[in-house]
Amino acid sequence: MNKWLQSILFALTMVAAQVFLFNNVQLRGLLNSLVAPCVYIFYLLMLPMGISKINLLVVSFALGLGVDFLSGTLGQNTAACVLIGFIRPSVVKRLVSKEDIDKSLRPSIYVLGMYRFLAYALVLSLAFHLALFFLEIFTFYQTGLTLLRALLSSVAAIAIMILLEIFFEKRDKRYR
Amino acid sequence: MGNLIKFILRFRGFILFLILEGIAVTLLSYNSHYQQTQIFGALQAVQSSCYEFAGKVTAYLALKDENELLLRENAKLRNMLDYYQSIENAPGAARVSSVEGKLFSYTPARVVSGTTNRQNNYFVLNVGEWQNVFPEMGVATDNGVVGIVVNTSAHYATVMSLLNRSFKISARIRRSGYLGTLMWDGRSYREAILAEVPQHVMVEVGDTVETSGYSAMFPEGIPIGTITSYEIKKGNFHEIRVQLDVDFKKLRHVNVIKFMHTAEFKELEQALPAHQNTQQHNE
Repeated sequence: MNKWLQSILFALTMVAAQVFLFNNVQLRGLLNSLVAPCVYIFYLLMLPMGISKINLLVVSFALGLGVDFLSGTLGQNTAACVLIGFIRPSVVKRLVSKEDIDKSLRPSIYVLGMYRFLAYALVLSLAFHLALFFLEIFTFYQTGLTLLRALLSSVAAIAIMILLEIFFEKRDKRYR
Repeated sequence: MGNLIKFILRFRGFILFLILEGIAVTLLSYNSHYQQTQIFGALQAVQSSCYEFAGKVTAYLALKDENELLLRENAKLRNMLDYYQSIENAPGAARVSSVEGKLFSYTPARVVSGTTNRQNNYFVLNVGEWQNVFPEMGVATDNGVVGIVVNTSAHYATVMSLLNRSFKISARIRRSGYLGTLMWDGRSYREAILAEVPQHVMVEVGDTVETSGYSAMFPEGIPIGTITSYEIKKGNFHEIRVQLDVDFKKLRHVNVIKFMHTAEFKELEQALPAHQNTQQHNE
């Protein structure tokens, strides 16, 4: 299948999964308001390492806008997505030495290794959720609660991302 | 000039970041209840029909609970009917007040979409302006208050859930009659906070909290929940935790409450001096 088409399909799947599945996940009691993972940023995390900064920003913006439109939270996801689109290149640069960067590869578990992938995903998804939740309530009142929400949601999102990664392993076996 | 272009090229990533972030924050600022309908009126209709379809499918999963609820509500209504019939038939008994007349009317509605896991939760009902549902009407189930209509289109209404950091209504403790403000602290979806009850009021765990009727949205005495704990916070007020009677995750059938004298009530309230300083009725 065409590389572009495949990528667009992946993006649409992630957005649909987020809006119709992950946004509707219901947990018990206190956890319900603490864990609200945004798994669709997996798409941004998995863009090839060689993507230009400009393209990455534009893609982040479009993705965030799409999710915002469908979930009625105008601007929140967009702002958070653009933020991680902006910091992603520097995070990748710190984790992968210049010679090792194969521009066509995605920074997946198989390419980065488990530990580096965890660091990569944790930094970006924590940044994303922090931005998202602070924009959502738009106040620094009860900061502890918001920090806890960001942390728990990030952990949940990363856990789901790792499952997705394992599930779609086949796609990337050729890179190993 | 050459330097400027060089500068822009060198920092084009950062500049684009600032521009896009700026757009996002601008969008965010447009995200008030009002603008949301203005800009996304059409979108909301499409979205709602999507959600309505999804809601139809998932509704089957909750049929059992819903049936039970409806049965209970039926029974209660029958009891009330009997009661009123008995009053009416009793010799020399007072009739339904012809002066006051009917104060509130109820429009049944179904929840077609909604959230409970955000800090500001909303849900969408399948009734709108065509069913005479307009902003600032209260929404409740038989078990208690669930929200306030903030936005309407022709066939749908957006409701600010009680589980919203901006939600505030006047409530009172049924036993003592003392007033407070009911709000949500963003933690558990089963608990809300009753604040601004003076310290000297005797509060007991298990007391019922209900609407005060000090607003044009909810009639007096709609239950909200029961007190589970209380403590004295800084200042002279209790902070009372209230276990909500309504399980917002199972919310399916609700009633939109229309107050018949809204215009009259508002006019009077607006004429009050220092209106801004008093507790606003729509909080």
